[in-house]
Amino acid sequence: MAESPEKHEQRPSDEDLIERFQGGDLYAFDMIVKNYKEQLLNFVFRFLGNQEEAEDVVQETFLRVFRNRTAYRRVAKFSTWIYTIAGNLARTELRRRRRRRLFSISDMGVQDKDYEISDTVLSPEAQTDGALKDEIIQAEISRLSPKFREVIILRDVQELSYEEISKILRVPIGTVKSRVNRARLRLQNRLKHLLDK
Amino acid sequence: MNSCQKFSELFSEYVERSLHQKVRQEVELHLKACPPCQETIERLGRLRRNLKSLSAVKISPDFETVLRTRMRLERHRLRPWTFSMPLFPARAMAYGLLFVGVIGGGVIYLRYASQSSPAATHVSSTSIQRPSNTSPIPIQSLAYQRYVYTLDGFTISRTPGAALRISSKGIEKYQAMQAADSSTTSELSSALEPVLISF
Repeated sequence: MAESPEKHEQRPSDEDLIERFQGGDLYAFDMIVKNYKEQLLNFVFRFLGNQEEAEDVVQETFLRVFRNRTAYRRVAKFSTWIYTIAGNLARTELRRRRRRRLFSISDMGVQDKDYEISDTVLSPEAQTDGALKDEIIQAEISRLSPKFREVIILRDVQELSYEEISKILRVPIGTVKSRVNRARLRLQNRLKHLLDK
Repeated sequence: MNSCQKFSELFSEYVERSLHQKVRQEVELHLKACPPCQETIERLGRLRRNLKSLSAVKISPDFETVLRTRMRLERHRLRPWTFSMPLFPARAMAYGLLFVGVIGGGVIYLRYASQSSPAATHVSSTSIQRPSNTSPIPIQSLAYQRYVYTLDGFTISRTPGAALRISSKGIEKYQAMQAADSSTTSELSSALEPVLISF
């Protein structure tokens, strides 16, 4: 049986899609949304720990891409560009949230200090339930300071290269590696009870 | 810094197998002698596997609908004349009226400016009534037009019998011009002389 011609069609790259969109092709923008909505949502959700806020941030990310499409230049990877936008918006959302909580957190303010309040409050039953392992891990990710949190999500959840993370965050690769290492060490220490099972 | 702390800085690269062989061997030597660090390495491996296998969050079914609505609003905000059909007739009418007003106002102003002389507010001026039997001021020659239309920057009416306002400075200039060679100014002189005589 002959294979359908669609099978041989090469999937357009993200850079091709954004170029087509820059030329006025709205279908190309739809494709970008389809390709990135899930991974961006997962990145932002792991960072903020709240799905509703994460969806708002991802929506805003696509709107920024839509609005500033002419700002993208092919010299950079499209994924780097869109992750940078999403990361900046997520950090802004986090700062906004921190300001809202300022009344209840007395001694916050040091950038490296981990969050004392986690977004997910777990019952003792939930903590012993293996099915809620994800929630426990998420709760611990949320306790990390933002700069450790974003690198560990990008590296270990999104599985991006150190080079790409470095470009997204605009920090040297050595700094990214160091932050990833420190974030992992903190998490493994706090998740001993889960990881030693 | 003790040796555990020093080696712990290399743990991530160790579990990712991205260390140089020589450095890797040094780390392994330390791990063999240090059970707590060995446990940490094992936990780091498990942590990475757990993070990788975290369940993906499912996006809301209405995500794209909401996004499309927000994009429509965005386009509406950026280019209202293209996307806001209900507002289009009213806007078109307003722009049309504005256009007609500007063009009409310009035409009226130019007609008024060409038919009446502006007030000579900065110099003492004298109003002169042109006799009704005076022929129109000639406009054939550019050299004459300069004097006929604008004498010292003031427009002079081309309409026969209309009130003519000439500044005293202008009159002096005209008189000086008359004293000069009359061959180049004869046509102008014949047109304006009755006016000036009456003054």
